[in-house]
Amino acid sequence: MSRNNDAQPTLRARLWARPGGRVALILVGLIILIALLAPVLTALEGQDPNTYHDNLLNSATGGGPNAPFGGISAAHWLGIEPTTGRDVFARLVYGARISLLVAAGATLGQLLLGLLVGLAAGLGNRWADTLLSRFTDLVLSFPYLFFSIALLAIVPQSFPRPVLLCVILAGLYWAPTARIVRAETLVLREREFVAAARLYGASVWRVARKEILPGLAAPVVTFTALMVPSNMVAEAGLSFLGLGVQPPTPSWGQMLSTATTWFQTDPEYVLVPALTLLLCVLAFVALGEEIRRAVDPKGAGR
Amino acid sequence: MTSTPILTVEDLRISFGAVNALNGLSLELEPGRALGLVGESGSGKSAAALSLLGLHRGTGAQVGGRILLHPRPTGAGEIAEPVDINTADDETLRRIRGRELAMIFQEPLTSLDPYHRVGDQIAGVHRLHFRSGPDEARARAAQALEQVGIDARSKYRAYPHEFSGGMRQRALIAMALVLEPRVLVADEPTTALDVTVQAQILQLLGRLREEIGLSLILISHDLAVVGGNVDDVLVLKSGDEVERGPVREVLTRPQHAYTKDLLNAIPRLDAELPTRIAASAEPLLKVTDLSVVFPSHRGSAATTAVDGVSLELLNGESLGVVGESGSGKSTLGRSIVRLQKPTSGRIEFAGRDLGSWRGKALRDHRRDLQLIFQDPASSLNPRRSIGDSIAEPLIVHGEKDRDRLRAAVDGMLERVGLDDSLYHRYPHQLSGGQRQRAAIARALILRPRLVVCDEPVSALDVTTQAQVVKLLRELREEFELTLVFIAHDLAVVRQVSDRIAVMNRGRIVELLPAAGLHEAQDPYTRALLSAVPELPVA
Amino acid sequence: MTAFLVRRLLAAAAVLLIVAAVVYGLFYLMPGDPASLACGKRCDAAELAQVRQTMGLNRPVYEQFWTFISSIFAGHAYDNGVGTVWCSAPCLGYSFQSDEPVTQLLTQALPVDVSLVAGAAVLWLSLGIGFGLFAAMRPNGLRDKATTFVGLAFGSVPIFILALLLLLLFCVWWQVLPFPTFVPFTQNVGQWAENLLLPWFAIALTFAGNYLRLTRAGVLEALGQDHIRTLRAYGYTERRIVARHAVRGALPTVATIAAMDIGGVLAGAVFTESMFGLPGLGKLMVDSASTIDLPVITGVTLLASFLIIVANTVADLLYAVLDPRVRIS
Repeated sequence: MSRNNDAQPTLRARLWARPGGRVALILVGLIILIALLAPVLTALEGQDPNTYHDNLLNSATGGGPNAPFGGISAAHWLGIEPTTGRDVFARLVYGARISLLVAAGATLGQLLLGLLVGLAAGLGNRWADTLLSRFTDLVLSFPYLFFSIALLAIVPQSFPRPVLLCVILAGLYWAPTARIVRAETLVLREREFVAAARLYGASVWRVARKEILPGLAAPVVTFTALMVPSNMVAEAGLSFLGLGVQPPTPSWGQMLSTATTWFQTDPEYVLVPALTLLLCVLAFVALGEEIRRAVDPKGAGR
Repeated sequence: MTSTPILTVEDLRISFGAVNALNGLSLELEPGRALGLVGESGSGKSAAALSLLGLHRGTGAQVGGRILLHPRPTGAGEIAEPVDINTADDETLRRIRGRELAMIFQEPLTSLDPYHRVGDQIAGVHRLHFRSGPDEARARAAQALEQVGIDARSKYRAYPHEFSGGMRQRALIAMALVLEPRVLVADEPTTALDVTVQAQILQLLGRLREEIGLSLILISHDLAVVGGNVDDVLVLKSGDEVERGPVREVLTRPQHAYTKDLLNAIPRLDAELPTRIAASAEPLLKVTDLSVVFPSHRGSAATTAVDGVSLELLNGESLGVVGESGSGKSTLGRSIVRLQKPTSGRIEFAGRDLGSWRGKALRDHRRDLQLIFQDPASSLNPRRSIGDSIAEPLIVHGEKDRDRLRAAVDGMLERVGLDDSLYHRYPHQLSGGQRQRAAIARALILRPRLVVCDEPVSALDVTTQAQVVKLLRELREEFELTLVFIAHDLAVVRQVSDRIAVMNRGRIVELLPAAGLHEAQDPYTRALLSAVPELPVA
Repeated sequence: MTAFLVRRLLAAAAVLLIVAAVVYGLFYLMPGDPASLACGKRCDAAELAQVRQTMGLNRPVYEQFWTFISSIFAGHAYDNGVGTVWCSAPCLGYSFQSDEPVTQLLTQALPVDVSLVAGAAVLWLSLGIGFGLFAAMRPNGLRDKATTFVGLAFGSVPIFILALLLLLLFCVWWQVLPFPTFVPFTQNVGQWAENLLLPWFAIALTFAGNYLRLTRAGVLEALGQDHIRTLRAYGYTERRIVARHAVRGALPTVATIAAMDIGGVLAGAVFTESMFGLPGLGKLMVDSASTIDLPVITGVTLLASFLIIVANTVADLLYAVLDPRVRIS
């Protein structure tokens, strides 16, 4: 009913206004674009992630690339993989898909579960809150990594790995989100405009929707933006241990894992996925930081 | 008596970026004298106070003019020559702070270091300036505590959170005394405290002035507080000096229109009462033996906020509820509108038991009972325009037609004295007074029969307070409201009420007609009455 | 204080029980035969039957779980076909693949993690808090922005990448350090430290980045408090205010999180151990996961949970000790 012209500018606008925010947004956008356009890009290069190119390998080094710099050439923009000769660039951009897909899926799952539990605990009565909080604390006591490793080892290979990764990451790491949602909900709930709304007869539903959820948007968005890179790292780590997506599906973690045995003769093969992963993580983290600052300029320590 | 002044302020100007807080203040403080600086929010009084200790340094504020501190005639002290605090070097400034001029602040609850014991903090200040040994410092600190009425033997080793608000302020005064400064700058020292505690602190300050000849600069928004405790007063408005003179003169024969406004706005215990509205004979609200107990939580004991309160409110009547913090008055108010569930007891509204309403019936009856909160900044949704906030109750109760909604809201805005162009404004874009008017509009748009006002003017400036109280009185007549007016200020409550209930520790200790306040019997009520700072009569 | 401790101990015990149940349930009731999983690929039908018997898989589930729990306190006799093996308390099961009680494997692995945590924690706390203070002294200036940026970068680097880069730099290209192996403290302190240097730094640099920002934020927030203004009004120097009082304000939060993180690292720094070949709990976990040695998996997970719960309890205690306003009762 009322126009928004006096309202505070939207988050996107505020983010764009900051130079750091602009850079972060562009970088992240680029990364997502590259992942989406993986087939196009590899077609441009003229390669695909799975074809073996044994002819380009040097059997003297046990399968290392013939050409220097890991085999970088016009045909293979980032060189080739040792022992298999597969194109690194193609594997990299397809690996990006897996990384982003799992990160996105896991983040979504964590968000949903966290919101559900956090809201229920924050809005519910004392009994519900106590129960759910204890449950959250319980989950927080789990050794996440060990559990993930164990579950990934036990569940049979027939189950699609990316989905499994999303499920495990979401199912184990939702607790911090729930905690934050609960804390914020409790704060908002005590605000007098919520009490005022109850006073003139608004139902719990309406109060949740119109008074509390908008107030949650800011902290939740901030937190979510930082969950994405965490999940990316988690997926990479698990793949690194050999428990993530299985070959031949390309994954950065996996590439890093094989690369470790080659870093003396073919350092490019290590550096390329390492630096790529690093860059992506930093881009998302930077975005998260910029969002945090855009959302709460007067927060401590700006 | 011409003695060299302690402090000479010449043309002090302070600005924060583009905002001018103070536009050229000049004053002189002579030994043993007390000066009051009075103004509302935005007057620049706090900025002035902070500048006296050079506390704007490093904050980005621009300070101009001179603040001359003269050396002690005895020669002892930190400085041998007059020093301009604005331009003094950091080292000199640090030596002056606390030793020549000491300051106490408005927030006694948070001004002490929570991680160290109270006595140690005071001793620490002594050791910092005099390089004294631990024993000497401890002795001096204990002495200072005794001077302000705190038993050093039992309280020296306590932590600040174990002290009440009043005690913390005393401890801060003790800290101010330990270095034997010449001037104490007190920035709104009693605003955050209960009125009885306020009286004690002001008494303490007066005693210290007499005993040790301490000069005082007392800053307050409350002319009445300043009135009985200083020799001269200076009134500030928006950074400019408006009037100054000996306190009796200014308060009984004010020259400037603003001073007159300020004086008129102060609720007086002897002012005229509102004309009583003819109330019907049947009680609209009947509270029987109400108790609200908050369960023990994580170690702290259960607190009884309301302890067996009974009262009756006639239709059209206005009941004032007065009490200090912790008296339970807010909890009582919230229980009446069913914002708080009582632990036991009965509340009947228009003959029906409030507790029996559920679901839809409860929602319908919500129209009849409303509450106005103390702080409109938090009772209005910051993300909604005030127009939308005011319209919301109507929407919740089924009104969908946009034009009718708009018309209703515009009507209410006008009734409460707000221009309807403010419909689309957000709360942060309005002044405190405007926000509270909007909150009142929202509370009244459903035409309730009973309105509980929970400290509705406590967060407002004195002149704004007077306006809002006047508004409430008018609306009460026009809308034929039954009011429950809750406040900690007896004089304010008296302006709006037919009867007054005095609460202490969850109980109503006295219930009497507003006109008969001076005949109060209960010792607590009498203590409250005597604690209200009196303005001198012409 | 005692009431608090007792309550926390009971709560911890309850949590552990639930975790044990979940772990046990998940792993033993998953699709796949626990016996063959525990036994490994090399088992034939007779051995399989024996293992099933020894593990008690023929008994009903609740009885199995009860045996599992009671073994932790009372020990258990395992009949491995050759004779009986006594697994003394706390008995967390028997690994058929390694032919050892799980507890033994754990006690061999734990000192590695303790060594790892000790050095890394000292490093990351001094680096993190030190630089955090450094940045907070002049907020929003150049040195603050630079320090925070570096902290952010290091804090975001996945630890296995940092480990890799460190190995590349120090062992391959510059060759200043040997490839790490684990030398126990009791054997040779000098070599113990030298070999742990790279792992310590790998962990420390990552954590330091985060603690830097944490300390900085905590100090800056503390500086905005009213009691800091009081200190200034009495002539305390800015340096003393920041270094002593503001840090004191940030301390409860930082200490609490440090306690929890130490617990986390102690419970198994999987990547660090994999990269540097350290035979700690993490490596044990990864190895047993790849061979699907169920009893070990279960045992390690339980121990890790235990360590985390202890760390969380210590964290709560620390907070109450450091902040007198929080009452424990």
